[in-house]
Amino acid sequence: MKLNPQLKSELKEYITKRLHDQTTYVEVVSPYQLSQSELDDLKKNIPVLHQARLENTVDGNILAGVIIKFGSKMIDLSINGELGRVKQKIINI
Amino acid sequence: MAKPFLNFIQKEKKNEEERRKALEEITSHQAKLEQEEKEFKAKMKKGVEEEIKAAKAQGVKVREDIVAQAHKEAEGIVAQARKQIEDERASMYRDAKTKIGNLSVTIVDKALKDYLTEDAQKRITQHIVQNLTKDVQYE
Repeated sequence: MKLNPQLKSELKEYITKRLHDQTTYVEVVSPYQLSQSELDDLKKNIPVLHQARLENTVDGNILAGVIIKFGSKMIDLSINGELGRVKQKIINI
Repeated sequence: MAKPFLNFIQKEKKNEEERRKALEEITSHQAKLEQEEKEFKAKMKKGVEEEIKAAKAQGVKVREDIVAQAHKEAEGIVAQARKQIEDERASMYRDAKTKIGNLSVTIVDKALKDYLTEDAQKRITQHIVQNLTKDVQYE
């Protein structure tokens, strides 16, 4: 089946843009709305976030710190996460 | 008259001789039978004694086997019971540690929720964000 060349190029552009958006979308969960400078600090210190688009979500259950989610990976820098690790260490004594 | 009488006497002597021989024969045969009977009884007694001895030895062996088997089974039961006790102890220990861990974290969580003001929360979050190069873990 022969596709219209213009339609083909527009479709390719659209799919490329969507893929690009998906790979660089990162969710940052925090206990309060982070400021731009705080988001910039995050981008500066974590290499994988350098080219990413950050989306900040507020979660009142987080005591302090942030949780960064991108794709199937997660970086837990919250106190809740640290407490969970301490709990595991106690259980594994 | 003398001749028939002589014949009679001779015949009687002959008969007497035969009777004597027969008696000797019988006596000898009887002695022989008694000897054989005595030997047979001795042989039987010996055979019975040997059978009894063998049966006793077998009985002792069977008893020893039963006792050994019982010991072995008892040891198996004791070992299994010990293992079960150890498994239960380990399980209780694990449960206790899990409960202690959960309780500790719950207490700290609640204390922090009460203690952390908004300012403190922001200060801590900013400190974490600015010191990210240390101990970053991927999950």
